Formats: sequence, C-alpha cells, structure tokens
Amino acid sequence: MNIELIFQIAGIGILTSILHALLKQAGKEEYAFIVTLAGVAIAFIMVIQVLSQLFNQVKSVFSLG
Amino acid sequence: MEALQLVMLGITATMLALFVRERNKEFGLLVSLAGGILLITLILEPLGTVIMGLRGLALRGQVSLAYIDIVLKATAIAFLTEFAAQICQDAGEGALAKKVEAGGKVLILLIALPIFSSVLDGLLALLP
Repeated sequence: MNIELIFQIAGIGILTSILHALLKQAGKEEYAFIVTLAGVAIAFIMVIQVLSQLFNQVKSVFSLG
Repeated sequence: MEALQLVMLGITATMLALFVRERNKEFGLLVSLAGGILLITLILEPLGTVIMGLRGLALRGQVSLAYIDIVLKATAIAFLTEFAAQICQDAGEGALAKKVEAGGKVLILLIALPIFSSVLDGLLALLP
C-alpha cells in the first residue's frame, strides 16, 4: 500500500488532460480522444489492482472466504 | 499516529480529486476511488484488532462464534457496498448506486437466513 498512488493517478490525469488540450488545439481531435481513453485505461488498471489487494486484505481481516 | 495520517490523507485526496475532476471527470472519479481505497487500507489494521477484541468478548460471553462471524460478514458487505454506492453517486449515477445498495441488502439477508431459522426453532421449542 503506497501513498503515492493518488499522486500518480492525479499526475496521469493532469498529463492526459494537457495532452488532450494540446491535441485538440492542433486540430487532431481523434488523437485527443484516444490519448484520453488510453490514460483512463491505464489509471483504471492501476486502481483495479490496488482494489483487488484491498479485497484480499478485507477478506483476511474479517476472515470471510 | 493513525488519526493524523487519516486526516492528512483525506484532505490531500480531496484536494487532488477536486483539482483533477475539474479537468477530466473520469480521472476525478479514479483519484477519489484511489483515495478511498488508501484510507480503508490505512484503517484496516486497527479494524483487525477491534475484531479480534470482539471475538474475545464473544468467547467470554459464551456466544457461539458462528453468530459473530455472520454479523461481521454482514458488516463487511454493508461497508463495501456503501463504498461502491457512494462512488457511483459521486459520479452522478444515482440509479446505479441504488442498485449496488439493493444488491448488498439482498446479500446480507441471504447470510442472515440461518439466524432467522435458528430463532424460529428456538421459539417453536419454547411453545408447549
């Protein structure tokens, strides 16, 4: 469990939105959309991994199944 | 000092989520979700100690551990489903939030059924 996770995700988010704005301004709107989608996918996968770790821990603490 | 860590993490996560949500709604949700997960992970160890203590109390009070386990399971289900439902609501998906909550209620009823049948058995045994 690392505290840096939120900073990483916030960083990816800000970076993605900057790239999105740049690409949009350069006229390449489709690329902007793809970049945003890729960023969301990457951050989502990171969050899902931590979420599954959390569920395993919750299962062991509550000793469910 | 866990209380301090909790407060700092909560405030920091809120600030970040607010900042990112304005630029990009999906990332705002992800930041808020990640912050929530980290907060829960932080509190998980003290929670484990509390549960051990509750189990000890149950043993001393000679309550069957099975009942305590059912109650703990129900608490865990309620906790997790409320977390997910609140995330859905923060994203504006009130309908989905209600579905998650309803699912949680059904699951809790499911694991509580044995208790109902035990209570019924006990009552029927008391009747002449």
